[in-house]
Amino acid sequence: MSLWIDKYRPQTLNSLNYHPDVSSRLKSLASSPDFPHLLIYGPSGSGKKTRVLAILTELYGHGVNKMKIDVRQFTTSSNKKLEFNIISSAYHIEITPSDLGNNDRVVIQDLLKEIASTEQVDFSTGKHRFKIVVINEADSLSRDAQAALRRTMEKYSRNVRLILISNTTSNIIPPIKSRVLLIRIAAPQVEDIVQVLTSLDRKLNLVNLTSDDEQKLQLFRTIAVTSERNLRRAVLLFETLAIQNDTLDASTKMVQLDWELVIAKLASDILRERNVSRIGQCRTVMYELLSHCIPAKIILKTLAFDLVRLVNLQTKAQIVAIAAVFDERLSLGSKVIYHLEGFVAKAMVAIEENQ
Amino acid sequence: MMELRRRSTRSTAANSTKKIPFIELEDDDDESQTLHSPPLKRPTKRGTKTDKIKKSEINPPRRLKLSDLSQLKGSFKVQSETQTQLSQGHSQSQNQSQNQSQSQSQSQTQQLPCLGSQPQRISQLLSAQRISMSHPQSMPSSTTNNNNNTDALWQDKYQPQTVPQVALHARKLQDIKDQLLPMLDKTSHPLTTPRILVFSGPSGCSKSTIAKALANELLTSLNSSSETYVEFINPINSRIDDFEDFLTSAKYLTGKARKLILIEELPNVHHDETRLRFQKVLLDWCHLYSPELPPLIICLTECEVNVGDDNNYGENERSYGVDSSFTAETVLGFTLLQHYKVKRIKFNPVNYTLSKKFLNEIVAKEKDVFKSFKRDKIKAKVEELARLGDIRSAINALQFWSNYASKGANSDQLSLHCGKEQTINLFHAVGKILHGSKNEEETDQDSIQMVMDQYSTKSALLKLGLLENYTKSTSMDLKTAAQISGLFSWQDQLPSGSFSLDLACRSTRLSMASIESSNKSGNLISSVSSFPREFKSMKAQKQTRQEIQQYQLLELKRRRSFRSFQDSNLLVGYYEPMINKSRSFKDKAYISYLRSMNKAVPFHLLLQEQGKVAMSITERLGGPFVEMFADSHLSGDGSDGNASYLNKSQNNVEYYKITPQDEGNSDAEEGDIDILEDDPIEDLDNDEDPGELSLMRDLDSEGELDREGKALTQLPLETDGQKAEELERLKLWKERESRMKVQNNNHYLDDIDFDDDDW
Repeated sequence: MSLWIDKYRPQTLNSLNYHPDVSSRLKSLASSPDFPHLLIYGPSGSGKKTRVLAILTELYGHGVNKMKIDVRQFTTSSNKKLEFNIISSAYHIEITPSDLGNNDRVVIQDLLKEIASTEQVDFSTGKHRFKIVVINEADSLSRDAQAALRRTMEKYSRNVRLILISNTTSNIIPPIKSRVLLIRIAAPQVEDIVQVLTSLDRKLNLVNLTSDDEQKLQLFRTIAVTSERNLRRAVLLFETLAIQNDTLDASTKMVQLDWELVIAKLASDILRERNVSRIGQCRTVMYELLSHCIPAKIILKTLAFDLVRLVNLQTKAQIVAIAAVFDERLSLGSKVIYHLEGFVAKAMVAIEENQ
Repeated sequence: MMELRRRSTRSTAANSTKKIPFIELEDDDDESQTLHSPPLKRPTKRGTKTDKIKKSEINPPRRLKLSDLSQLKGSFKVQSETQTQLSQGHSQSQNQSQNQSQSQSQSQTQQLPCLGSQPQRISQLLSAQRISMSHPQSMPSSTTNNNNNTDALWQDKYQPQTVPQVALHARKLQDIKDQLLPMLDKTSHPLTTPRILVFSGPSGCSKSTIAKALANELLTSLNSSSETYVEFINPINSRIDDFEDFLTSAKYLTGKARKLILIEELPNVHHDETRLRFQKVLLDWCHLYSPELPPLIICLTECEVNVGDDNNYGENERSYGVDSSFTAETVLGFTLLQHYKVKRIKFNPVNYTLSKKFLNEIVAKEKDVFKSFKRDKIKAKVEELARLGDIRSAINALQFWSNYASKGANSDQLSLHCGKEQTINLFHAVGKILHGSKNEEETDQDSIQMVMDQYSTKSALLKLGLLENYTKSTSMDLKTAAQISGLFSWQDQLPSGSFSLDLACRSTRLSMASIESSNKSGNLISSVSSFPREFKSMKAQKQTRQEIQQYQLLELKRRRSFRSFQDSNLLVGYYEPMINKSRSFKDKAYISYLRSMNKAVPFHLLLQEQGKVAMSITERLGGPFVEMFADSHLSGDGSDGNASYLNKSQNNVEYYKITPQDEGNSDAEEGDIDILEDDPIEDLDNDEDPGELSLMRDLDSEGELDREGKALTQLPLETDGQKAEELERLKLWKERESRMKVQNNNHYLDDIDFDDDDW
């Protein structure tokens, strides 16, 4: 039982639903004899990974889908043994260095060296002599690892091509940015998502979905908006709704994410009552969110936007300014709880003053 | 064990702030001597004196007590002399202890064999004394002997034998008597009479002394035998059973043989299971159906065990629990303390007047020693020591001081620090900063400095403690709160160290002081202070992270679907359980529908029903959102709270119901892991020959493959072809072959469409 997000993921560049210009550009890249290093970036759920897999298929044929998982061991400089999962096929290798924390440099170097030292031997299917290394979540690479990557990119460029996948380019050092071809995958438009959902509906033939086209369209739009133009989320939401409801139409109630609801409640609580003991209660919620590994930056951002939605114009500006200050401190400091609490307290004061 | 204790005592001498749990456990009597032994650099100056002490001192008339002990019934009585001493936690090695015990039993004046350096000898003397002091059975009969002995330790020599002598506030004494007297009275009402008294308080505040004195006073008339109380003594390789056995035998100490049961030494409560068992045994005691039970008194020396510093701490030390703060709440647990048969009496440090009176009495009695001293000097010293609050420590300090100072001329240079270093526990420190010092003479500057000196290495803990508690002040306005939290946030950017702590403490105090002064009423009603939640949260975070990583890995292995950490946590971890739950519900309904119509159930559904298909998550990754409460210092057994929070049990208020449908189905990630371990196909074909079995494994269980070190290269498509051949070769039954295929496809390809919605 796999989820629709996995089951109906497009496999080839031709079957991609939106961003036709990007797709055609990627296609021409893949058909050219050489291939640059790529940095593919864009918000979550915009189809970065899908496109990367499609490029790989385009480059090497369906052979890349024969993937295996290896557990590799690495030894750090302090003689600590690290275990690390690598997904690989005969043509490419895929790593997620964020699992490694601060030891990612060692892994990156070792791994790239190892791959680069062996040339592609199987020319039967692939026409390229290089292997591809896909690095997921490249923005979580430490500076150290990025510096190491920069050198490796040049040294082994004969045998290795890198595809970095990242949400933003701001955490990636300029030398790397200048060595790669940057491709931005924008979040799909609402209409794009509606189109994807419609084609999904055609494949699935859901019986509980309303047959009225107008209603359908409206439902899909609501899903697209609720999921903040995140396609992965939209499809997940669609699946959840489809399986939970007997009839799906424009009036179907959306399923909100639990942690978003928690934060939304926090925001409305702050607006309803502002005093010192409320700060303490907010702290409880914050700790709970943090215990669930919800990143502090996401908490801050979501809360700030929730508050902005609820307050008057003058306060909006102030809250955004306060959020910016504490967002920076989140990056600079070590214990996130201080900054989250600081934001809550200051926001309360701002709301209080503008009433 | 012995090694540990020895080491710990040494380190106590070297650094009196570092307390080690072992000592704390049983100390009550023992810790202070070593605390106040003078710095070890100076032995030469007092060589002759110590020699003198040594000659005359090794005569504790201890034989009596051992025989007394052995009269007691029950398992605890059978202990050799050596064992008893060892278990009392003396600092000497086994050999030395044996030496001593021999010397005791042989002759009263025998000298110890001369050993090594001076400091060693002194500590040996000390330990010899401690033996005498920690066997209270001997007290009544040996008091006269002791008083004749001029060189005995004063704390032992002047240990009060009768209730009025004990340095205890009259009101507290009355409290205790109010509780204790009905316990001795058979006719008192069972609902209002406690069975267990808990004396809790810092060290040296007369807890056990008053218990013993009261036993003497109240029980002598009723009692036929000479001792009036029995004490639990932890055997050297103690098990929790020992304590149970002890109580079982002790419950017959009623009527004529009535005694008071005194528990000063505890089983190893730092071990979770032992502690829970210990609590249960005590609870059983409360529930025991018996018209008369001997009164049980637990003397608990409360202290904050030194939590590790910022960069170096164990996991348990940083969460609220018995490992970080050794108090009645953490040791005995909430249930027990709330029980109507348990009464807790809190002891405060002995106050200045009482200590002074007591010390002055000693000075008066020890005329010989003090006659060469100037009066004002004695007076100053006594007053200084009386402020300690720890009477035992004060007496010891006085004795040592008299020893040095009486050496004459250069006594002034020996400005010994014969005092106990004050330790401030976290709650106290937080209180000092938030509410200022209660002590009028102490300025804010002093108290902050004192707190910061102590917490310089654990600044994170203190700062988080402040953060956790500053909002509890009722008279604080929002602006001040914002100011304080803003400053907390500001200091967090600074490199951690004394400066950021300084900033946090002083700014908080300043803000709080400004509220206090503007508020005039002055009474900031502070509720109970709480232990910072940060560490609990970190633990939970770690757990969630592990859970998600496990999920990521399994998804990758089973379904070849890559999930990023954030996606797993924020999106899929929430939606997927919902989808899976609804789907399995629908499938079940579909199966029962088919059955009722006497139709064949599709095979993939059958497999699913039997749980032969790889499980998917059915509960929110990381558990539902619940409230995480901070442990206050009154909140009982912190580790219990922790456990229940981390297990997400129903004890906590769920403020969001995560799953809209029934929550009965709780195979979360454990289920996933199980599947890897016990292979579905293997179950199906248990009765087949091994060759076939191994093939099955190759086909399906990635876990197995991993273990065998084979690469997981089989692509679904490929697998089908190759395996089909192999199956042919092995002449599997046709039916099973098809079953395999379904299973296999189901597992890898997912191209069977479960048209849930078709029916």
